[in-house]
Formats: sequence, C-alpha cells, structure tokens
Amino acid sequence: MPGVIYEDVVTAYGEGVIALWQGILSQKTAIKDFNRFDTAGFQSQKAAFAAGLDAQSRESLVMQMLEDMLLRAKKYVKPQTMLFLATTTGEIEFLERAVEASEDQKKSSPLFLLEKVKKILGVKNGIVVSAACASSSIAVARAAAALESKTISSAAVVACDSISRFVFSGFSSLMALDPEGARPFDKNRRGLTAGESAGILILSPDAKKSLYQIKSWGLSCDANHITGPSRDGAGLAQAISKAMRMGKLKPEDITAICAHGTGTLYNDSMEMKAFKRVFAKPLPVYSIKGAIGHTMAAAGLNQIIVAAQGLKSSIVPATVNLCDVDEEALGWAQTQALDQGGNYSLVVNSGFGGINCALVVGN
Amino acid sequence: MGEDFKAQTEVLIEQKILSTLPKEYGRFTADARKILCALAKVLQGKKGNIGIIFVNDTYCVEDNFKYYKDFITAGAKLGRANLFVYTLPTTPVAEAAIYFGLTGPLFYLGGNANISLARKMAVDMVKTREAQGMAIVEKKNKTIYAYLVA
Repeated sequence: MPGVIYEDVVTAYGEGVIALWQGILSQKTAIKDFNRFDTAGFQSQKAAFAAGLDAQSRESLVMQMLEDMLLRAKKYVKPQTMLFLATTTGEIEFLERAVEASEDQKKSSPLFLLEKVKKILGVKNGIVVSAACASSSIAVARAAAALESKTISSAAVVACDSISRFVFSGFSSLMALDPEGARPFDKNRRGLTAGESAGILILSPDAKKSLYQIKSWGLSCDANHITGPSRDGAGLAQAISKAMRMGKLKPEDITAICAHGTGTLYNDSMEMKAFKRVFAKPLPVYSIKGAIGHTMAAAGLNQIIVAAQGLKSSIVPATVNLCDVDEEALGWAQTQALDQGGNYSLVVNSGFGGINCALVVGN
Repeated sequence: MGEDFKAQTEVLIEQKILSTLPKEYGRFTADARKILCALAKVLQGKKGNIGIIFVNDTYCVEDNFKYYKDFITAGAKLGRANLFVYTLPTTPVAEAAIYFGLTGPLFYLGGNANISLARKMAVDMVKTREAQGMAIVEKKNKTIYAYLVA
C-alpha cells in the first residue's frame, strides 16, 4: 500500500506543514482584505493569499511558491520518479498578460509549467492532472494506483494554483463568492473565498516506511450539471462507497471527514446528504476552506496533509469561520476541536463538471 | 463548421446513436460537440459507472484566452459564466458525461506520453473495478478520437 514519505506546503498561513496545522488549530482565519488587483467590481474583496509574493515579478506566482519547496524536496526524488502536476490555471498571469499586453498565450499552458517543475526536481517523466477542484486528490489517487500496479516505483504529486483576476472574475460571474469570507457548513454561508497554495507529496510503494498511508480511493461523476453539484449527494456517496470498498473499511473505521466544504449553499448541503447516505451515525466533519480559502487544484493536497496531522495528533480540528452550524450539519460539523484518536480519515473533493474524489488517509 | 456539426448530429440522431441534442448544445464549444459525437459512436448506448480520461497537448488555453479577452473587452467588470466554465479542460467531456449519464471517474491528462499512460490507467481502472468501463478521448490536432475500455 502506498505511503507519503515527504510533504511540504505553502498556504496563507505561511510555509510548511506545521504552519498550516498550527494555523488551523488557532481557529483564526487567514482570509483578509485583498488588494493584489482591483476587486471593487467583484462580489468579494477578500481572499486567503500567501505572503511575500510579487505580482509584478516576471516569475509566476505559482513558481514563486514552488521553487524553494521543490529544491528542498529534490533529495527525496529520483530521476525515475513520476511527476503528477495538479493545477487548474497554472501560470495564469501569462495568459492575463497575453490578453492585456499582447504577449504569447502559449506560455500560460500548464504543460510548460510541467517542464519547469520536471527540470527543478530532476525527473524524466511527468503528467498534468486536471480535474477542477478535485485535481490534487485525483492526482494522489492515480499516483497511488500506479505505485500499487508497479507501473512506477516512486511518485511526486505537486499541486498549485494562485489567486488571479482570471479566477476571481470567473467565480464572481457565477455569484459564488461570500463577501464576508467563506463560512463552511454555517447556516448563513453565502459562498467561497479564493485561496492559493502550492504543495508537494512524495509517495513510495511501501506505507510501512512512510509518514502516513494512502489507504484507498474512489472517483465518480455526478452526471448532473456543469457547475452545480447534484442535489441528492448520490455521486459523492458513490465515490465514498468505492473508497470504503477498496480499503475494506466499515463506517466505524473512519475517525473524521475532511470535507470539501467550500461554503457555497449547494456544495455543503450536497456533501452532508452524501455523508448521511454512507454513514448512518454522525461523524466529525470539518472544512479548512474557512481558514485558507478555496485553493482550487491544491485543495485536496492541503486536506490530505491536515487529515494526516489530525490522525497523528488525535485531534479533529474545528471548522474555522463556522459560527452557527447549519441544520443539515448539526451533530457533524463542529465549532470546537475534538480530542479523537483513530486510524483513518476520509478526504473528499468535488469540482465543476460533477467530478468527485474520496480518499482514505491512514495512520 | 456549424453546419457540419448540425449535419453530423442529425445523422447520429437518424441512426439512433444520439437520441436528442443536449439542451445546452448552444453553449457547447466545437470540441465539446465533436466529443459528444465521438463518444456516442463508441458507447453505443452504454451508461452508468463508465469514466472518461481526456488527453490533449493544448490544455484549454484557447478557451482561457477567449474568456479573459471577453472579460477585458467588456470593461473588466463581469466575466461571462458560460465562457468561464470552459476554462477547465474537463468541461467538454463533463458535458458528455451529463448527456450520456456516465458516473465513473473523470479527469484530464496532459504532457508527453499522456495517451499511453491514459490507456494503462484505463485498463487498470477497469481491472481493479474502479469503473465498469473507461472511455479515452484524445484530441490530436483538430480531430477527436474516442476509445472504450470495458
């Protein structure tokens, strides 16, 4: 069974896994007033942004987040390590400049970013995995599957997305942003908050020598609507059931659920319906998107890291920014952290197109 | 091109490979329409726990450019949601998944060796019962190819 032997991340809480975990435990949101570009015309003026990034640099924001992290990770990587690069917009500012200042739009393709990341890591082979907001959890699932089938001997999953006018304007056009900042599972929630992050997980085939294991996974599609999740949660429930079956797990084996929990009315409601289809008894459910925003392709990787920290520390974190628990989430989502030990946590992500991924992380 | 696709889809409807046009057909990009037709031919009425892997070497850069140019040209105040949804490479195949009722795994792979890796992944996913079938949709130059592993 595959395991994670190395991990690193940058989020709005700062650099490193400890900064992310301590930030979540502090219950203080990293969502703030945002002025990297003019947001006056958009639905929200808030975001969860990484500190110290230079929007005027010729280097893209994702590369600024990635470069030092990849250099630190190099010693855990071999030339034959397979790279899975998860992103939705990659170096999107090159496209923005292509439109605004007639530069070459091709440089914005994540396939160019893939070559840059391969070069820094010193690996020969790599692939871009894109699946909307489920990109990195699906990348981890595919990497784990390839290790189990012995198609590859080691894998690096790199995930990244940055906050851009491109994405801000898009989510605003869908009326998906909460002007007050995301409040997952809150009865007053009104939408998501944009976030940015870059991270890396290095996987090996042998979970015994790892920090934690990737126990099992399940993927599905709602086949319902191009942006809205299915109203009954059946698609996500199918993904979760697949993951449970693959891991030969019973509902009582799961300690907690790190939900996708974007803070939109429909997503959070859909997830609660999905969880109730699979788990007869309430389980602790939490979201990290009220803390670090919706980091898009990197969301799954962020959640996997936090879920693993939770198992290691026997703590189920509270959902940051949750004040009044929605009726549908009563008994499940918590406003306070819980001392709870266990062996397995479920991580779920859903994305546009009805894409769902459920992944079980093990101690 | 519009007339070609209208003719193609009419033929497919006549041959009962497509039953009707999707109601959102008007917003489908050219690729989404081609994908619909290609998948109709390989699926031959199959649905359910079948997934799709989409591979190309151009990501969705053209659709990204189209969305953002439209946003900037209109004064950079409000983007158009029906263009924004196509700024993900999975959208064209997701449209097909909705139409055909395909509830299996769905994702995009890009980069060198993406098609051989996609084939390997598809075969493994069916072998290990992650899905009952996996369709691979490949865009090469302007042509769409579809295969089914079941």
